[in-house]
Amino acid sequence: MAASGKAPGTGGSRPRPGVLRRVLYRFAASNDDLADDELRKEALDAGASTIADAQSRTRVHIQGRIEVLTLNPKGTNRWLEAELNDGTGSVHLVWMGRRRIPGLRAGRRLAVDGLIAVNDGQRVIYNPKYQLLSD
Amino acid sequence: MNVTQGLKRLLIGRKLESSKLGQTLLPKRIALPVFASDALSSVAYAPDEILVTLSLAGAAGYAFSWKIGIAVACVMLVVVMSYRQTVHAYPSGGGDYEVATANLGPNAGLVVASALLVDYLLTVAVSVSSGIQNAEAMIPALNGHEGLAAAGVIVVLTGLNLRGTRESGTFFAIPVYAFMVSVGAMVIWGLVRIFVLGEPLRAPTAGLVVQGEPKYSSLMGLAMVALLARTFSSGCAALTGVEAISNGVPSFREPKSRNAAATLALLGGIAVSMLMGIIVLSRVTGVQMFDSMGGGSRIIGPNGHPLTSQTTVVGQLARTVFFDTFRPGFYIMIICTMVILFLAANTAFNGFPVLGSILAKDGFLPRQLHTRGDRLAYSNGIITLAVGAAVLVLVFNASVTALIQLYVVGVFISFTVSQTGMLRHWTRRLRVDVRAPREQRRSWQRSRVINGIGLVMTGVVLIIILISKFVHGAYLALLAMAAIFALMKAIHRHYHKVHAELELSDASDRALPSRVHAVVMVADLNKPTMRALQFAKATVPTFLEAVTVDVDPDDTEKVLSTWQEEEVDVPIKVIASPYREITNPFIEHIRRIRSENPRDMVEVFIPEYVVGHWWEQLLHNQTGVVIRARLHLMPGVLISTVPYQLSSSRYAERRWRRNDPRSWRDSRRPCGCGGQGWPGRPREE
Repeated sequence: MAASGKAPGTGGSRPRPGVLRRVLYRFAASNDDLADDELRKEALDAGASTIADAQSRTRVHIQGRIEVLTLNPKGTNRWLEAELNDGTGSVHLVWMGRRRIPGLRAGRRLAVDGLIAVNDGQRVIYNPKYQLLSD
Repeated sequence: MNVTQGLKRLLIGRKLESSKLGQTLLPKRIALPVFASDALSSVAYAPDEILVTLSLAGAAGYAFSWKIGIAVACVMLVVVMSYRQTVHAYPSGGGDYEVATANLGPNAGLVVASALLVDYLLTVAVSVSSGIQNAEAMIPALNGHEGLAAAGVIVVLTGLNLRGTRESGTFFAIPVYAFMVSVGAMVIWGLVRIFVLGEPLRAPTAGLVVQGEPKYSSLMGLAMVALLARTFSSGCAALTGVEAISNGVPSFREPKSRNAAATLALLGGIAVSMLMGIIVLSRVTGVQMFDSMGGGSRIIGPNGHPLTSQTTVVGQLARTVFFDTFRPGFYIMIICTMVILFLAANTAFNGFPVLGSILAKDGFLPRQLHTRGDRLAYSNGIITLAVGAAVLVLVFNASVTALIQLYVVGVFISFTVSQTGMLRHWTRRLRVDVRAPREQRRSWQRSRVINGIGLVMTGVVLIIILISKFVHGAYLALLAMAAIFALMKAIHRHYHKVHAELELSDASDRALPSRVHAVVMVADLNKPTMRALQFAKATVPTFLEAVTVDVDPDDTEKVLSTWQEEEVDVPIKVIASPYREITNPFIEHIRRIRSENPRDMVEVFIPEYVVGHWWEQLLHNQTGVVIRARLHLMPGVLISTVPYQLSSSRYAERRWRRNDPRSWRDSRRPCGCGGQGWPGRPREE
């Protein structure tokens, strides 16, 4: 079974690519790709699943970094939204009824549990359980 | 009003309204000096070059001078005759470029154009240099500083032309007529003194020993033929400027073509008689010249040493004829010669920018050359010409003998091509209008014969010039022409490509964006940002969001808390920036919005501080500049800069209102003008 350098696998079942291939990949890959790889690796090491593999309407445990944090103003829906990226894809997190969560800011690493859904072609988790991770 | 601006107004003058561009029509007596100064002025240096080249064969070589003169005069008459046909056939003033383009296709037109552009440049350089050399007869202190003096004259001419010399008909007429009269008077008075009064007039250099180059001194064989050919080509400098009238037909009074043709004939007659007069007089008085540049020949002075400097033929003749009997005549002659040479340079200042503007209009040169400046002159063309000519005179140290080697090639290329074009023009006329009246057809046939003779003559001369001058410098002119030709082709190809790319083609070019996604860039919640937010809201977009990049968590926190205090009713997004940069995360965010729905329009509002000084500009807005540059590359993104005028911006406002040197003028603005001659070129048939 040929190992493709970038294909996101689930946990340790994926065979490690050869040394040369890894060196070549690290040399040729862009900064963003390497950063994504690191995020994915951290998530896998912590025992989380990846966003790309997450099935709709299943409970998932994922870990990643907040890319975009959206604060809605008064008078509109009282939702706090965030976009979480784990290197394989991104998922929207929505906390209904919250205006801010202390410590939750852009760039923060976060582990969340929740039921993943697809809305408008975009993965969403409503009111996830979250755990702020240290930077 | 500041100092530079005051100075500019003093030197260049007030700016003029477009409506002032009305064309003054010239009667023949004014048109002759206006257009003829170039052609007539060449009699001031053509005899010099003939004698200088002949001096390579030693003293005996001068015996050929009048034969060469006759040959040049013959060519001149034939060319004038041919151009009389051109002004009748193409009265719109497009000149050789138009003739070549219409009859032989755009490439031939470009050949003519590049040849003429190079030659205009050389006209300025040669005329100014020759003027300086003549001035040396009167002001010996100029000796050794010719290059700088010539460059100075070019600067003055540039200033005059930027001012616009449109009301200058009379200003031209006086020195040109003075020159004609004084040359005539000098020749007649000189010949009268010699042959009627029997005075043995001798030029200062007469009778001195001339040492030529040994290989020419036998006056035999191929070497001599080559030398005579070279002399003839140098003498052909007298023909430059004949084409000026064919470019200026629209400026003549009605009947334009007939008047222009008459003026051409007059010009030919006067130029030929002046040229022959000077050559004959110099032969009779024994004027001798030597090659001061190449060093091929030298004149041994009375003290036994070779002369180091020499005065021009006109200078020597004026000294011989007038100095003892009528001294003011000497000074008048020298001054007139100098002035007419500078005026000749000035005709190039008229011709080059107009040709440049026509080429620019046709898309062969940058469009800026087609814009008229403050004074309605083609400022960009004038400056281009001045810079080129100044470089030439400085490099060649204003040596006419060196510059003349590059000269004339271009003129004869354009002569030959345009004669070919005229031949085809008449042939086609005869073929198409078979049922034209007999008389008409006969006159066409006559014109065709004349242009045919002109073609043969100019073609032969061109070949002689190319062969005899190629190694002496003509190759430089040819290289320059080839470079300009290639450049014009490339520019045209570029304009053409862009035009094709921009043309409306399929339906998607006309599609309305489905939704508008407005994004306001926020760095800090202050007056400019608030203005940007309000403006964005006023455009009623489908989605509106504010975006801030989280470079510094403390700053972001401050923005968010003010956001809540101010109760701004726009959602704000905080974008993570793991590498502390603003541009890339922001651009990435916009790209994500774009890729969600490519038919959406994304409108990015960027608040900008407007400041009054350039150093303030360095301190502000730097991120905005970079982000704008990046967003420009993204299709479907509209960038709205929301300016906020800081109090210092009033300085900038004041400066711009006062004077706006960078103001862009629309070149395509219609004005019922013909410029200095050429209105839109009506295509024939």
